[in-house]
Amino acid sequence: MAKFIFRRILQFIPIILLSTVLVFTIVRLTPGDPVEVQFGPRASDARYAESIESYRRELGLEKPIIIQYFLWLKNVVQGDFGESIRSQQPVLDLILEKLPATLELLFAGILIGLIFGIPFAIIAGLNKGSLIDSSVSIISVSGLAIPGFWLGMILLWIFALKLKWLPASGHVPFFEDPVENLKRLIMPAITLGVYEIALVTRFLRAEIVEVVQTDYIRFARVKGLSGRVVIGRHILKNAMLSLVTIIALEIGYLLGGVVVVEQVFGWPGIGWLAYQAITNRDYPIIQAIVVLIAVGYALTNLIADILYGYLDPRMRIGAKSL
Amino acid sequence: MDKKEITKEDTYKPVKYKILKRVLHHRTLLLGIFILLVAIFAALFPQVICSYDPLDILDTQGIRSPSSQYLLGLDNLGRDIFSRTIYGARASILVALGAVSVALIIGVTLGLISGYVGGWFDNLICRLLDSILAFPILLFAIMILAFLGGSATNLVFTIGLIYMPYFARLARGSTLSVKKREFVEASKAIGSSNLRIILRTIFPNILVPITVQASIALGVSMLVEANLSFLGLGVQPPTPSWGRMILESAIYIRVNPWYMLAPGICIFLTILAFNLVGDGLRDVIDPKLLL
Repeated sequence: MAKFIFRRILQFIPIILLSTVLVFTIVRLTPGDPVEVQFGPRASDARYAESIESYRRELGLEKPIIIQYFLWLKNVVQGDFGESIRSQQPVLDLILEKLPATLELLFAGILIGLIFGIPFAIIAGLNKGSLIDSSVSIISVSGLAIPGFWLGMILLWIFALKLKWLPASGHVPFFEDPVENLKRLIMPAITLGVYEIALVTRFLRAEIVEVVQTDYIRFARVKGLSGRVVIGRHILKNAMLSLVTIIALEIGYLLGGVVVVEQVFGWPGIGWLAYQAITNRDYPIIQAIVVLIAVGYALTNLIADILYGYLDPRMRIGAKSL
Repeated sequence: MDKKEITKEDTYKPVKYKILKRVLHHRTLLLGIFILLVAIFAALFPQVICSYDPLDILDTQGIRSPSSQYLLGLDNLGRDIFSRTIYGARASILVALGAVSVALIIGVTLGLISGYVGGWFDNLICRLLDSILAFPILLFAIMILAFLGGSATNLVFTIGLIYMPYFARLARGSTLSVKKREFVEASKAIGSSNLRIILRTIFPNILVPITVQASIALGVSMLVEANLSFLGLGVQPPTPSWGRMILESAIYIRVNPWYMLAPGICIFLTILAFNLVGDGLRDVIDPKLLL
């Protein structure tokens, strides 16, 4: 097991390093001088001349590109992502301030995906070819096709504007007022959750159908085991292994989806922060959010791989060849 | 003994006829194809469906509810919403097609070569692909377009390059499996060049999974394009695009909800169609048929 974990970590490090190279390269590919692009119209204002010069030295723009990358990487590893051009606040502080709201939304989205997706998948997978299976497939395929921002706006229109049951936007911390928190959380969580339900249903159903067709399930039935035992002890236990991978996939989608959903609902998380940064051309914030999310996503996949290896010994044996 | 005359019915039916028969019996695949044909027709010949130019300002008063004159009403600048919705198909579908084409060409080429050559080159390509796959698609696209700016060309190349690793991995996996087959060994034995083996022997045998993935990729690309347009990073105004229309409609929902509903329904139906076609092709093109 230790060797398996070590091998996975060894594969993780170069991926992260290459990802940072990608982010750095994209920033440097921006047309024009990066400092002038970042300062925008203020670049020609004499009041900002000293800030611009100091920022240029800080970025090491006069140095070779490889030195610039390592300087930037050194700062990133030490948690220094620079300062927001707009507010002059350290970028990491801004991100940490907004992170709890995003984590709350991500958690709610995953929970909705699992609470509804797992039962749908089990019912459909165990009744392959039936009307129930067809209905669930239609729901799943439709869920994957609905744009999240559009669904969010429809929910706002119906529940906030027409029925006035729920507030349209904002965030109240859970420990301050749980009821108000949930009232504001429900619509953005459903918006994210619908795609998650579709993802979980689709992948878990396929896994269950595959497990049902295996020889060991056929043997379990031939042995005379009751349906409940076959389903509970053999089918679901094996199919649920894939939940680890499915949740990792969910997180990948959610990390992109939060930018849009937080914008629709005015949810003050890092997605909302990223959108404001895009509008204001605040590149240090955009860079930092992308690097942190990429590292977070890669770490999630690493943990999922390790967990899967722990739960399914066949993965550890198969991984020796990697 | 009389010789039995061999008729056409006695001959072996090619695989393509078996596939066609399966297609004609697959209801959801046919539904997906029908919706796509309607969408493509709207993208190619919008002037046949619409009465107004999507850029014409028909009423300087701005937003209007649906009426007998304007089927879905007018937008905030007084332009016909129905016409803009139909013309919006062009931007969305062309961007999706362009992006998947870029992803296919680069991805399949890389995957074929990497899978065939193997060794350090294959390892290097895999690590590069993994570094791109480390980013969620939408987030990576947002970052690139935030720096480069939104436009149809930037969208096509951004989405295309981000999706490319999915095709590359698929092509590589299929190549690794096919290159061990006897007919590839036979090609090598008769002295075929590597290029000939890749193009004439391996490539045709990996087309099936790539075709299925391409259909699914079109749906994903369209969803990403819609999200980017909603964030203002897509096709720029005044060119109509569905995502942008939904963004602009936000403050007018109470006055005319069709400003938001119409483009959203179109996005939903088109992506649904791509997904149905992708799933249907996967069901219909059974690998056992090709043995």
